[in-house]
Amino acid sequence: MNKLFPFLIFILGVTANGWSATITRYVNPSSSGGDGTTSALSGANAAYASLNAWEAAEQQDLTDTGGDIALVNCAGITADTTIVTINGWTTGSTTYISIIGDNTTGKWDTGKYRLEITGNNDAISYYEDFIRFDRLQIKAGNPRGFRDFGTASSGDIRISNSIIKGIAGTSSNGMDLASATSKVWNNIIYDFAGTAIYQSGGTSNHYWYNNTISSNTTRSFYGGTANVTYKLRNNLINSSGIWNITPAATRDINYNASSDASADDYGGANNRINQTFSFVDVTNKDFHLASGDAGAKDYGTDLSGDANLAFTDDIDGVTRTGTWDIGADEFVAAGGTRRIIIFQ
Amino acid sequence: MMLSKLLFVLATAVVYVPGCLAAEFLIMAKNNWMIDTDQTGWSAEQIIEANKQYRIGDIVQAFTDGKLNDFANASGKFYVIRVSGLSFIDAEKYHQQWNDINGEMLNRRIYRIRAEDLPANVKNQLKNTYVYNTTWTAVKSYIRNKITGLNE
Repeated sequence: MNKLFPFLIFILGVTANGWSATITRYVNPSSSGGDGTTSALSGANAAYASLNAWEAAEQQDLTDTGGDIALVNCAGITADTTIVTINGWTTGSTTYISIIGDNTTGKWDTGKYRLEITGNNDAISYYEDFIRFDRLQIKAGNPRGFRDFGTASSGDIRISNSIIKGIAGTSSNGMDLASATSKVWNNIIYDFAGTAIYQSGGTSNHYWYNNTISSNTTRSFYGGTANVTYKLRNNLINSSGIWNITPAATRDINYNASSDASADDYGGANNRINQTFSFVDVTNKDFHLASGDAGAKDYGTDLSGDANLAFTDDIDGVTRTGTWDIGADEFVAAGGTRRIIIFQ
Repeated sequence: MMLSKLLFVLATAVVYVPGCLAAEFLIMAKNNWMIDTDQTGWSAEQIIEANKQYRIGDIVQAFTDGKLNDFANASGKFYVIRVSGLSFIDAEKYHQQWNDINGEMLNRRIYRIRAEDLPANVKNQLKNTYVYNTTWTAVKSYIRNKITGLNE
């Protein structure tokens, strides 16, 4: 028993301050409202009717006794139309907020959870330092999809496998990042009048990998912070203006591809310029690579062992094998394998 | 004060009729944890941040008529208030966040219901069920704009 006790403590996750847990909740805009503890659409335990309602109800200090992760699963065919502000929590590196959508099709899907905002409001604004966003669909209004209102440099913000679209000619930036370390991968960002991924401030480094960026007027990337590192790998930039990363930063930029001459503007290696990308249906915003693509397919680098941001799949949940493709989608020939995403 | 409360009771004696011009509100039934926590030793900045957070009575979100059932109170985290005589489009005004000119949050909400001033029978029903049906005529004078300090 004496030898077994430490093992049991490890398995049960007991910390010096108590028990840690994942607080799992559900959001579905088709729900008539409940306490969010199940994905049901009615009844006392039904999903919250909006992500905004979840945020208001579940705010807490995640770092207190035991330490917790706040996990919310978002699903549903009805659009969620209320802006989301994440503020009034306390988070930590192992006690973070995790917001997970249900899109696994790699293109805008009205059968999956989506946050659609109109007017002069950012879709999601956040003030907390440790948040992970995954598999969401965000339609921005006039300003931004995501906006960081001043995280600390010690923070860690992750945005992955998401589709972020603007109103062409109107919406400003896909995401405005600030001081926290940012890890942004496998996203599709399009139709912004400003910049797809914009960052300014702080002392942390930023890792932007395998994003597909299309039809953004001003810039694909902006990195305006001196004395930090911007590490860009496998990004596909299609008709999205220049990119602008300050020479006062360390620019570690390899294996990216652009439809104009910008991908090698900052040196690096294996960056491809003046490419013609072949998508399944660019007119209807399906940015899956077509079988005949010669601009991005098999020109990326394997990031499964990357020291800063390792991953193995694409925006569809397909496991990347062989020579990686550039962009959010890994082309799979007919009959290829697909990893099934298990909802937490 | 007593007259206004009497009028509130009489006005809400009108039966709530689903499907008419109406909207539904989720109202905070509890304060954000920062407000009720012992703030001894907190910095001035921390206290300022705490004071921006949700308080009882803040209007979290407006919904269309018939959207929410009584369980939307989420085990007592919200009040569900159904209001006839107010369109959803007009109701959306009341869940706006209070921002500065740069869009940064000054307070979670501009508008709140003065839950502390509601008639005793209304308070009791909210305390017991977290649900209340009323009319716009009856409730609007209990909605306060935090920026102006005025009631609707």
